[in-house]
Amino acid sequence: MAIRTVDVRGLEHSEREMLIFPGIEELKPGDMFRLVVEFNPIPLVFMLKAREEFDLKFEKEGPEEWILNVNRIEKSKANDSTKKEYLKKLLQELKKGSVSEKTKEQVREFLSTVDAKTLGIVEQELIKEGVSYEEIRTNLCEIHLDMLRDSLAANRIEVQSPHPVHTFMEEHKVILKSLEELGRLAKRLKKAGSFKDVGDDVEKLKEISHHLVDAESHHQREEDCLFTRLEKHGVVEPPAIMKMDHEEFRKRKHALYKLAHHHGDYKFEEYKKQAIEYGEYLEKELTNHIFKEDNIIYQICLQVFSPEEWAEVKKECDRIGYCCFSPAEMETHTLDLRAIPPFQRHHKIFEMWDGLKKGGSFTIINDHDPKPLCYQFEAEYKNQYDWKYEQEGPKDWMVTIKKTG
Amino acid sequence: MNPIFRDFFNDIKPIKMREQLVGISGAFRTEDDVLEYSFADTVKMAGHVCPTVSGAYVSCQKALEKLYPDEIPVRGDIAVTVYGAPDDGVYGVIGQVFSFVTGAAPNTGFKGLGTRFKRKDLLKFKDERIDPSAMCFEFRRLDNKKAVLVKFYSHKIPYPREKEARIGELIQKVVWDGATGAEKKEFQELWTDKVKTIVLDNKDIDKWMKVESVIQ
Repeated sequence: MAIRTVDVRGLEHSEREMLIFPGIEELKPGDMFRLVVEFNPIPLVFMLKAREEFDLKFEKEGPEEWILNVNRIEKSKANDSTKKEYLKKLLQELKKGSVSEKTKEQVREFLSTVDAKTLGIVEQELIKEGVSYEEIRTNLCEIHLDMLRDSLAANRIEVQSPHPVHTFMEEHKVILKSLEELGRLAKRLKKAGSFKDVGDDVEKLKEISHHLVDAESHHQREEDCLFTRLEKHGVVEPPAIMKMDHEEFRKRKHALYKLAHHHGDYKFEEYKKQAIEYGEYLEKELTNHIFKEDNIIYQICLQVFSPEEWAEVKKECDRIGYCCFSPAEMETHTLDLRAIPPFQRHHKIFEMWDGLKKGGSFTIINDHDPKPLCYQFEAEYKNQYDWKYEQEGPKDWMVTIKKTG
Repeated sequence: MNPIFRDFFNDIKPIKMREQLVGISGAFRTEDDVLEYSFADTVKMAGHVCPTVSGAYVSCQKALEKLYPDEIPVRGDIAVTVYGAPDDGVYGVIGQVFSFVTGAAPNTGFKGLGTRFKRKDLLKFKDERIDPSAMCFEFRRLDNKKAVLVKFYSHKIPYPREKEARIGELIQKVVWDGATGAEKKEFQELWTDKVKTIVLDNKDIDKWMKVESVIQ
């Protein structure tokens, strides 16, 4: 067995990629690629695991260096150039519009043997040849996602309130309900011949479009607080795709909102056509998008961000604000006691506590350990509060206090 | 008189500033001429009108009145500190208004001619809360080092709760093009009414704005 050790410590991101990816792609079955890095290479592990072609084992896990052993466990069925040509042919088939189950099956089988890098190259070539990103995204990504769906969902990391990812996921549940409702409404609309047949659905569409537009603060928080940070960690492509998705949804939401609120300006057939078109698009694509965020994007974030970064994410999310449908317990605020004179601090804390709903929480930042406050809560609110240190010195202390009873 | 903006814009007192740099660069007919920065100019710069832009304009106006009681303020000779992070809430927009009127620029500003007329780094953001319920801004004269602290309690601006609630109901519809013509008009009336309360009427200003001298 041949062992190749690649030490990328101290190198620039691009230099690392040039050593890591070709090294792994060239790996023959039975051979080992030994990667030495100065931090936990979580995104890489996540990506390689998803391909199911490698056996991954950590030889060493920190604190100063991580050594990851990568073994290829399955030989590719065809060489790269043949793969490219074959995949191009399949994509051309997919482009035609009506795709047979046989073609889909061929794509599924093929994707199980192709790696992400080859896929990326072929996609780039196709874009150069005039195939739109949208065509690739809707044709290929969907089938790819279907393949990975079960294994991704099974391996998902779950977090509890008030973690920002918990908030995002809870909001997703509400958005999904709106989308289901939208899908049902589009179906009913197909059978309608006039506004009279539609009945309450005109108002319902207004309501749904209101909720979808209100979810914009959810997308804004993802873009500003999660995606930007992922990019700083070198995870660039997944958030870029998610942002492009957001843009597409935003256009349709805007159009649907206008349509729903100005229905009187439209002839029924035009209203029906547009409502079905936007409704079906959003139901299908936004649902898939949510799955990808829950099971890929958030999962990468959970593996890559440090606790300090999560505290920052929480703060930034609080600044941006939440949706009207965000769960009550997400109404978390930060109270920076350092800026408040000591004699006013306890008053401010209990003012905030009194205004809290059950399940809600707030985070205090202090310049010393607020242990006395903890005793006060224990004395006055026993079994009604949860006390969690987010940071314990040396300069500042952060504690999240949750109302549990 | 401006023909574009609402009539009440004409009644808002402009902020007069001496601008030596414009003078010596030869743009004025008379070198010691005085510039007027009107609320309409501020709205042009910001690209919109809102309670924040209005509050920032009034903050600037009141701070300069206290700093320069008997003279015209000198643009570019004032350092401004905004107590808030530039990307937090509305502090960035407020900073833009201060920069526009006073000439104090962030680190992208004019570096000066030799050692004079430097505008760069005169506008600073400090992520500190001096007063937990107010937005705070310090204006400091560079010539005599005198400074004032403006405390802006935006939540104390007197505006009827039902009108505020109606603005809340209408804003999404207006922004996402779902409002009818009448709703749009209603929103615009309410929105500018609140702006007028702040920037022209200064209604109960003592309750929502304090301008304090900073003791060295």
